[in-house]
Amino acid sequence: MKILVALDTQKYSRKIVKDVARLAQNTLADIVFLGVQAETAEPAEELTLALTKYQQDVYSYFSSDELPYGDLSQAKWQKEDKGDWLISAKGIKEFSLRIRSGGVAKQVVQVARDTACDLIILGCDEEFGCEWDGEMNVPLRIAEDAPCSVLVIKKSLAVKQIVSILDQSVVSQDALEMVNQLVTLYDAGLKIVGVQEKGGGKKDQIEQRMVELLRYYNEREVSGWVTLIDSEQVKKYVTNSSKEAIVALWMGNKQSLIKRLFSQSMVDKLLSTSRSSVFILR
Amino acid sequence: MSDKQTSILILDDEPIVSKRLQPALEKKGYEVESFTRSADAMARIAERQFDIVVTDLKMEGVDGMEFLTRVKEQFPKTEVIVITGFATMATAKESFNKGIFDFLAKPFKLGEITSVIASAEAKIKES
Repeated sequence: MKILVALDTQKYSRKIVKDVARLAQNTLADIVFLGVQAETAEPAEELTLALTKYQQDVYSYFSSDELPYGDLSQAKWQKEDKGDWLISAKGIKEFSLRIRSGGVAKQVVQVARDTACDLIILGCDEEFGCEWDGEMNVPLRIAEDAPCSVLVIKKSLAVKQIVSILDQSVVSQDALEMVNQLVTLYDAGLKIVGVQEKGGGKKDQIEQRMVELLRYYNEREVSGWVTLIDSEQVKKYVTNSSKEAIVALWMGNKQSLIKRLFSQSMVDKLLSTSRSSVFILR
Repeated sequence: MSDKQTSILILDDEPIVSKRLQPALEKKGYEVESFTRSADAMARIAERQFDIVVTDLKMEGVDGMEFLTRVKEQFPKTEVIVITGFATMATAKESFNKGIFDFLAKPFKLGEITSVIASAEAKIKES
């Protein structure tokens, strides 16, 4: 697994480092820390110092004999391309710090593609929406265009439940596996919520899919609950669930009912109002 | 090691894993056998040695940890790669203590696992 973590110098970025470290400990993932800055000739010192500090914080969660990453302490920033700098070290796994110049959302999505990452993680302000260095709706715009799932962490709560909202469209194996890793990470229960369109058009199909998923989790000894709700309930259900649980929304393809129900503004509202984290599955 | 085909056994109870992996590895010239039931894979390793074993951990019946333990006991030179959807530090640590080559949390890209397999193959050929 390769995880791309978008970071800046703000409090919402500092707060997610602990969650990233725990996920790194569990998964031994390759990690890329990405900072994005305005176009300048050199990487900004404030940003390089922040990324280095976050990396050292992650390393500190490992004992020296358990650290899967290489030593970055002597590494120097290398210019890869115009507005693109990199430090990287490989142990059993690779840890990279990267700085790109340009718009935050655009660069995060581009690096996610370039590095073939499996998950993007970023923080989001608890109180003032999801502005990133003057750019509005950054998490939403990343989620819209990302080639992989996106975890937006608002507050590091003791998560007891992952609420995974699915519809009639095909759920990718990658998305299921990502939910599995989160359930394991937080030792959380899993609630699978099926959404049917008003009038129950595809109820049988959704129920069958949910039974299959329940069987999948039971075989893997994961406690799972399933429930079915009408499409008109979904916004309220998601908003309520997001108060205590991580909400995982399947928004994988154009056929996705949830994608249709959740307009961009709704996802943005969810990101703004959720107390916990929001997981956009791909 | 001679220039014979590198043999790989894949064990994962999710058929989609082998379905993705086996053709890609065969295309690269590996000899691949896939299993979705650990009992069948266990029976197969009693019959022959594989150069590389790729195994899931959480499975019904004999789990992946037991399977890899058996593989390493029987064939210490076989390189084992663990793939798991339920990764924990404890299982990673236990797996490395048993001498695995690498530990990959799911999901992963095809390129990631083929690269790890190539590294395992290089290690075998060097020894």
